[in-house]
Amino acid sequence: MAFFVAGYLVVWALVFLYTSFLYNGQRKLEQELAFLEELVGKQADLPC
Amino acid sequence: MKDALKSPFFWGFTLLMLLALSVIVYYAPVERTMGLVQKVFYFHVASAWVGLVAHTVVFAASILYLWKRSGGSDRLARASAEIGTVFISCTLLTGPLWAYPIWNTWWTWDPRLTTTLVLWFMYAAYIALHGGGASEARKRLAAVYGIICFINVPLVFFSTRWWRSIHPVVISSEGIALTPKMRVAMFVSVGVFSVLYFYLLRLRMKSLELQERVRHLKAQLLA
Amino acid sequence: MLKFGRRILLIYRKDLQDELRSTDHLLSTLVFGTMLVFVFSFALELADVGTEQIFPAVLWVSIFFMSVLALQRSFAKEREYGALDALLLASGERSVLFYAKFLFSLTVLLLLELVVVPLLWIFLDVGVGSASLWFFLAAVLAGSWGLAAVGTLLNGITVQLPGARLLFPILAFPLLIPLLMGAILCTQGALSGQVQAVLGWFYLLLVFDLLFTVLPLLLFDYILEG
Repeated sequence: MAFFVAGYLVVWALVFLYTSFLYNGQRKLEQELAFLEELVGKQADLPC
Repeated sequence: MKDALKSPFFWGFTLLMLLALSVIVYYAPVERTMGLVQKVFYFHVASAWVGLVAHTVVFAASILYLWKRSGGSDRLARASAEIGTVFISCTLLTGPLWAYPIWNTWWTWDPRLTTTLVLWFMYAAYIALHGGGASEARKRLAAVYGIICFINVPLVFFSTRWWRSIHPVVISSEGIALTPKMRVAMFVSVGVFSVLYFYLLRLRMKSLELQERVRHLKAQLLA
Repeated sequence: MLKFGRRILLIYRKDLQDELRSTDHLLSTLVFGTMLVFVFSFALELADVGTEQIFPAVLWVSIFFMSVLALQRSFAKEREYGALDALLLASGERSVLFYAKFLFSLTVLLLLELVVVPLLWIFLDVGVGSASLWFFLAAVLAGSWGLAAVGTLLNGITVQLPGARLLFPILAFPLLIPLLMGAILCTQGALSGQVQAVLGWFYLLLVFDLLFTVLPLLLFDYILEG
């Protein structure tokens, strides 16, 4: 029993950690992207 | 973590995982000699299956990248390598949890075990080589390495098989050595894990694409 | 245009001359190798382990570590002085460059082994009674061949990435597992004089060598593209 539960928990924990790692990265990237796009927009407005 | 909890997809897959778990616990029969521990088998085989599929995808996508040079195939290879490594880790961790009560040892140098471990190392190296795919060179070189790795896998397997083997062979050319109910449970868990693979793949490819766009914008700003 | 083999030989000769002219890298690798021999035999002596059984493993692990230093030389110099493009132009085909560098790496590795292997043999006090010396030499040659081929292929990869020196052993070792197994078991067979029993492993080594000697024909163009 203990080994079976441990096996399930290991799989579950790894997949969960990886998924939340992905979501975390995704959110950070989206923020960075929004910021950069704003910067690019400002740069385009400036007369050179 | 918060973001994961907000996603409907995430909850859908949690439900599917629970479904697989209940099928394994309640539907699948308890094996006569090994007892409950044998049920680790369902996760073990399912994650090994996904790991192998993922690494085959890396191979195919690497060839495609060298041929067509499309960003998509590079992202596919990279995402698949990463997810494959996660699932191979699951295989490597669940294996000993079954082996200890049954074989009375955590680890043995059996062909399948050795090949799986070498596979894990190769794709960890692949990920290190690819990095974030920051340059064309990294993508190209990682693709070459991905191809070499895949070609090397049978060599590792056959050399270790020659050496020794005690791993049970459940699925062979003569059929599947499982009772019908066990077979159903196995296919359910393999199915759930495969769906999980595609879901994670989609997610990872999207974030890799975002990464690329961020890099592109940064370059544009600096120019 | 010169013939394929002739071009390989020309580049090979250039590399070898260059390496022998300034021997500091070769020498420091050699010192590293002998140091490995010393550390291993000393540690094993302290642990009081039967050295004869462990000799093949120690031998190949030493050669592995030594090759990490020895095999990262093939493309380093050209890269340092920006001569890779010129060399590519001169060699005509990229695979010519691969085979020249491969031969060069193999030569360097064999030169190092010429010193390190006898030293290890003496230090670990391995008897020669029933050993089959010819088979031992064949095993060392076949193992080094594969090491040099994989090493040159991967050196072509790592040399293009800044700060990837550390990556080389990480990329190389998992690929070299079948070679390691074959080489160790063949060496074991050679020492005990039971060549027939390990002949299959020798064929495995040959298959490995063949694979990594032919594979670059297809893949090396992609590696040195940039």
